[in-house]
Amino acid sequence: MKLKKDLSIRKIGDDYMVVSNNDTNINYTHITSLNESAVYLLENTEADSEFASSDWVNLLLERYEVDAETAQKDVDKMIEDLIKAGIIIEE
Amino acid sequence: MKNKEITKEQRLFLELLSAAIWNKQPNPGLFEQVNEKTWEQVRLLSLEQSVHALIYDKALNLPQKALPSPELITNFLLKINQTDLKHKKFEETLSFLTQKYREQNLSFILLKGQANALNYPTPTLRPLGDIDIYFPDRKDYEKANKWAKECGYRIDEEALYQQSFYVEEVHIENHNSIAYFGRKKYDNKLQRILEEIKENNHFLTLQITQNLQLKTLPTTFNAFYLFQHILHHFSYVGVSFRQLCDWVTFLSTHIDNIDKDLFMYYANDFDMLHPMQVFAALCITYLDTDPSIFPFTFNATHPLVDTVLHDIFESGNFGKNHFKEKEFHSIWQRRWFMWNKTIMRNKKVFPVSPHHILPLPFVAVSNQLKRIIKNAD
Repeated sequence: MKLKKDLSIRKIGDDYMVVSNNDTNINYTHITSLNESAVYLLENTEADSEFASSDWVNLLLERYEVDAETAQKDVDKMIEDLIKAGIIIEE
Repeated sequence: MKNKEITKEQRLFLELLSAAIWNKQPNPGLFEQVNEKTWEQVRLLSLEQSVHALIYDKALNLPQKALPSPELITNFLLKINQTDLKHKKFEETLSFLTQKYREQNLSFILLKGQANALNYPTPTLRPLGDIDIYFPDRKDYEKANKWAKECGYRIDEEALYQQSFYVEEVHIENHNSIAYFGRKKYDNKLQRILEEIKENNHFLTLQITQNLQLKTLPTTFNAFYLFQHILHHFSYVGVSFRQLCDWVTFLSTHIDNIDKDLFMYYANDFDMLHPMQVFAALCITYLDTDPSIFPFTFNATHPLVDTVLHDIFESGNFGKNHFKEKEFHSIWQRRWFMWNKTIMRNKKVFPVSPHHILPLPFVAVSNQLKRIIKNAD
């Protein structure tokens, strides 16, 4: 899977929002709210390059005091949500 | 007559706009406990004044307790994103036009819009309207128009000094004159100045994007011209804060390169010093503008400032508020409405610039006659 290009992450008050576009077509703009760990993962993943869920699990394990099983569950849920939001593209 | 006070939403709008153009934080205390209705009014004012992305961006930088509702946050984010995408589209279109015009060896100058945006702290937040191209040589202007027709682009009826058309919904205006006063003494002077700039090749080269360099007007003349543009629209049906922001951000960016004596020569020669002083005082009072950016002297307060301020809020971008919910059955009915509106506003705003505003009803009639004759040819 790949992270979409041209994502724009913005902190608004206490929350994070990500804006994603479909090229220059303004009719395909999506806005999704994110939690802090999702922002951390997006900011540490290269856009338009292949990555695996294990890459994200490792990132979470490096940063947060969490066990591998919980990290995997969190990542699976996050990936599912971000695919629905059009932020992650499945190949 | 005592001027009416500004409303709460207007005050909030001005706070956000000043913060946007001078790259500072708005006062969060002003926005705490602002209700949804007031925020909605700020949103509408931002659209009417064509500065929406600038305002929304600053609103979204407020602390949590001063933010608008989640629905408005989403709306603001979408509009900011649309403005950013529009910049990309305009850049592509400008590159395309540049390539096509250069292939035909046409000499042209970029005016206003995208060139003005470069003077803002975040250029992509400055909403764009159209691409304005000026051809110093009339033959080049005609060739460019002919090319647009041959390409099959949707073309508007040719105005007296410009031809507009659309390239994939981007509105292009080809100009064969940068401005038109309708009074010989000013039009002849303007022509002489432009001839001089052309003969001495004093046009500036501007880096529009990483890969695109274009010519634009020389700095001192542009500082004058941007105000002429404000006064022109203010005199007819109204001007918006976007045009004022364009002028002050230009002056702020380029003040060290402006020849003050030459600027004063232009201002006096075209009888524009007084209206410049009024608008400068307005920018100091309501847009937190540093007085030192203006290349002329003036009092920071002026009795006409509030008249102009309220007219700007009433008129909206290029006077579009006057046309809201109006339906016209023909172009002549619309022109008649505009002419009446100009006369009605004339009574209120002529003290700002009597030299330019009082003759307007006659200039407008003369323009109509010229248009009829031109179209009959």
